[in-house]
Amino acid sequence: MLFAMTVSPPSANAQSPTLSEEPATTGPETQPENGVPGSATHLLDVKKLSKRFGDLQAVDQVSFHVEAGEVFGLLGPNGAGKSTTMMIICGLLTADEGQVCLDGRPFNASTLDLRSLMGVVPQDLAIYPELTARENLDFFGRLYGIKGTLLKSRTDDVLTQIGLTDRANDQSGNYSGGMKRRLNFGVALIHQPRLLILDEPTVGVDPQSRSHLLDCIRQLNADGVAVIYASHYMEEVQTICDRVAIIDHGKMIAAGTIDALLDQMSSELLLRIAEPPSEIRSEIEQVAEVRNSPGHGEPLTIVVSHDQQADELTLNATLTRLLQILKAGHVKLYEVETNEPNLERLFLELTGTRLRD
Amino acid sequence: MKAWEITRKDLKLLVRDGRTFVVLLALPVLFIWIIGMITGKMMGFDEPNRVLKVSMIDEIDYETLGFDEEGEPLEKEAARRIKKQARDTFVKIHNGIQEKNGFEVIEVVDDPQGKNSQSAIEKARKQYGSGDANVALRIGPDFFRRVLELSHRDIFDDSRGGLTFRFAPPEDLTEFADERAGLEERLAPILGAQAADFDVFREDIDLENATITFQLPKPAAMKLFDGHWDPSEEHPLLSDLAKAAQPLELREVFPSGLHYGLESLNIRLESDSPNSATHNLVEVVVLYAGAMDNIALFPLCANSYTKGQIGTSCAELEAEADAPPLALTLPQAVEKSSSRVYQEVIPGYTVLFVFFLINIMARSFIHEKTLGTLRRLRIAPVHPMSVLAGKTLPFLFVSLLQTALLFLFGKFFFGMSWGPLPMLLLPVIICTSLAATSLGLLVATIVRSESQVSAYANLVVITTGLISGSMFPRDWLPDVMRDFSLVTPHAWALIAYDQILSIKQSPDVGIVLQCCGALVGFSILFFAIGTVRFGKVD
Repeated sequence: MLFAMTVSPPSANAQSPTLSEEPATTGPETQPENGVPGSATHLLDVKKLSKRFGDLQAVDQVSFHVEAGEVFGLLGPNGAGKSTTMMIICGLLTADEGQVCLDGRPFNASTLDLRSLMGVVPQDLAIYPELTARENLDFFGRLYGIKGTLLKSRTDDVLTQIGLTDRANDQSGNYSGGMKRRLNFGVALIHQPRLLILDEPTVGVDPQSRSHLLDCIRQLNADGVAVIYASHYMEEVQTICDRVAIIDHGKMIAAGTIDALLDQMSSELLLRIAEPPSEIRSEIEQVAEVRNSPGHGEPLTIVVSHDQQADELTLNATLTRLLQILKAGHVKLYEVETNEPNLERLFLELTGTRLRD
Repeated sequence: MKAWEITRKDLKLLVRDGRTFVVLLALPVLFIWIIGMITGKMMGFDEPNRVLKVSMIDEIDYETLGFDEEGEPLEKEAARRIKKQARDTFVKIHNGIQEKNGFEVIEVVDDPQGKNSQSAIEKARKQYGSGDANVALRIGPDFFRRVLELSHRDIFDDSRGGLTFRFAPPEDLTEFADERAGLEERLAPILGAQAADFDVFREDIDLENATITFQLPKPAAMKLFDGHWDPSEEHPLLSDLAKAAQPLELREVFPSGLHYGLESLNIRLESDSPNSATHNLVEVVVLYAGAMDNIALFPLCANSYTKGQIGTSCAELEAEADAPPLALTLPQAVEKSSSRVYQEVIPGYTVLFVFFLINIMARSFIHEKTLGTLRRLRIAPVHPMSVLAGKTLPFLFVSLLQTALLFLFGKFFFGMSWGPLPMLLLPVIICTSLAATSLGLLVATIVRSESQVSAYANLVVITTGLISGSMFPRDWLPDVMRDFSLVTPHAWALIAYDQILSIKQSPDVGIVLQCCGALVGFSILFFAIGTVRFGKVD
C-alpha cells in the first residue's frame, strides 16, 4: 500500500532515452528496443537469469544491460539475489536459465578469453597480505597475460591511481583498512578491463579513501569503462550511477535512470499534529492521508503528496483547508516537514523496512 | 604458464611462512635426531659403551690337525685342507662378529697352539685396560678338533631343535601354501613320529627360501642322523621323505636349532665385567660365525666321521677347501652398523612428514579461499586445471626438496647408507611426493575450515602413518596389519625404500617398480577425485 500511495505511474515527460527499453517503474527490464539480443551496443547483456538453490529461488528472470561508459547501480537488500546475480555475471556460478552476453558474445565459465574484459572488486578483501602491493598487482597482471615492461608500467600506473606508490613495497598485510581497500580495487584495474564490477567497494573505509575511490570510478567512467556498482550507500549510488536496478526476492523490481525513477515519486509535506477528535480526523482524511503514530500519545502525521494535490486541489488550497480544519477543531500543530524524493526513500518504499537476514 | 605464475606465487608465500619449513623439515630432522639419541646412535657414531670392542686370539693348534685319531699323519693335501678349513672357520667367526651390530673386532692376535698365550692375553688385556678392547676372545687350540668331533646328537637342543626341509623354490606362493597342507601327516611315519609331534610356528615357514622348519622331539630328528651310511650314496630315508613330501619337491633336509656352548668348542671369553653384551657375543660366535655349518658339513668331506647330513652342500665345501683362504674383514670395510637404525627411521619419518604436506596444502587452500583470492583466480582467464596444477606444484617441489634434504641429512649427519643402487631412490621419491601432493589436494578440497584441517588432515596423516608402519619398523606389524597397510601409499613407499636401502642385499628392482606403480596409481586416483571436488569448491 505504501508503494502504491507514493510512487506515481510513469510520467509522460520522464527523461532518459533508455526509458523506452527500461521503463522507470517496477518490473523486469524489457528487451532492447532494437530487439537484437546481445546487441554490440551493450557491453553487458543479462537476459532472464534464473538460479535456484534447493527451495530458494535466488534469482528469478533478472534482465538488464550495461552500456560502455556508464555506471550502473545494482541495489537490493541482503539476500535479495544481488550477489548471486553478480557471481553468475562473473562466471563463478552457472545460471539455471538465461544468458549473459559480454561484448556481444555469450559468456560463461568456459569462455576464458572474455574474462579479460572484466575486472571484479569483491566486497571482501581479496589480496595476499603476505605480498607487497606491487607483488599483488604483478601476480594478477601476469594471470591476465601482461608481462615485461607493459606489466611494470601498468603496475606503476595503478599504484599511482590508488595512491599506494610510496608503500608499494610494503607487505599489504601491514596496510590500514583503507589502503587494503584501495589495493583490492587496484587489482581489478591492472588489466584495464572494459567492465568493472564493484561489490560494496567502500565498506569500512575512511572518508578520504572513499572519496579517492569514488574519484577513481568517475575517472574510469570518463575513460569509457562501464561499471556495475553494488552498494548499500544510496548517496554514493545516487552520486555516481547513471542508471540503477533494484532487486528483491530474486526479482528485479525497478530499473531505469535515477532521475526517471525519482520523477515517479512525489514530494511530501508532513504535518505532525496532536491526536484529534474522531469527527475532525474524518474531515482531515477527506483532504489528505493520515498516518497513525507509532506509539500511543505521539503525534499523528498528515501526509500531503504532490501528485495527490495535483489531481484534486492546489497545494495552497489543500493546506488552507487543512489548517482551517485544525484551527476549528483546536488541534495542535507541532511540526511541518517536507520529504523530497531520493534513492533511499525509493529503495525503502520498494523493498520495505522489514529487517533482512 | 599461468599455472607456473600461481606456483611461483605460492612458493613465495611458503618461503615467507616459516611454519612450512619448521613442519616439513625441522620437525622430521628433530624426530630423527631424538630417535637417534634414544637408541644411542646419534650422528652415526655409536656410544662407546654400546660397541663391544673385541680382541680375538687365534690359538688353534694347526699342527695337530695334520694327524688323524690314531696319531698318524694325514696325506699332505688332506692336511692342507683341514688346516685351511680351521683357519677359515676362525675368519668366519671374526667376520661374523665384525659385521654384527654392536661389536667390533679391533685386533687379531695369532698365537699358534697357545704357546705364547700369556703374552697374547697380556697384550689384549693391555689394550682392554687402556680402553681399546672390552673383551678378549680366545679360540682355543682344540677348537677345530671339537668342531669335528661334535655330533648332532651332542648339540641337538630338545627344546628348540628340529629339522628344516628345503624344497624347490615355488613359482606361486599360494600354491606352495596349499601343497604343504598335510605335510606333517605324510612325513611323520617315516621318522617314526606322530603328526602331532611336528610343531611348526609361523616364523618357521620361510616361503622366500622355500623352507619349513619343524620342531621335533630328539628321537624323531635323530632318526636321520643315527647310524652310518656312505655319504657318497643317498641317505636311505631321503627318497622316502621326498616321496612323502610330493607334490612339493624336496631338495634338502638339515638339522636346526642346535645348541652348544663356548666351552665345548674350546673357546674362552675373558672380560672384567661380563654383561648382556658379552652374552650376545657368545650367541654371535656360535650362531653367526659359521661354526655350525662346519659342524654339520665338515665330517662328510673329511671322510673321517660319518654323522649324518643329507644334501649337496658337500660339493660346496670341497670348492671352499680349494678356494683361496678367507680374508679378515677390517672394521673400516664394514658398513657403519650404527647407521642401520637410520635405515628404517629416516625413510619412515621422511615418508610420514612428506604426508604432513597434506596439512600444509589444505591450509593453503583454505587460506586462499578465506582471503577471497581463490575467487579472483577463478574469475581470471585461467583454466581451472591450471589453477589446480598451480596450487599443487609448489607442494610437489617442497616435498621433493624435503625428501632430498632428509636423505642428505641422513647420509652426512647420521651415517645412513643409500644402498647399492642409490639412483633407484629417485623414482620412489618422486612417486611418493606425487602421491602425497595428490592426497593433499583431495583433502584440501574436502575440508572447509582451518579447524577441519586440524581435525581431519591430522587424523589422516597420523592414522595412515601408524597403519603403514612409518613411525616404527614395518617388521613390527603383524601379518594382517602388514597386508592391510597396503591401503596406504606410505606402505608402498616404505617397501620400496626398504628394498633400496638394504645394506646386505641388492634391491629387487621389480619390487621397487611395483611400488612406484602403486604410488602412481594412488596419485591418479587422489588427483582425479580432488579435481572433481575442486569444481565444487566455492
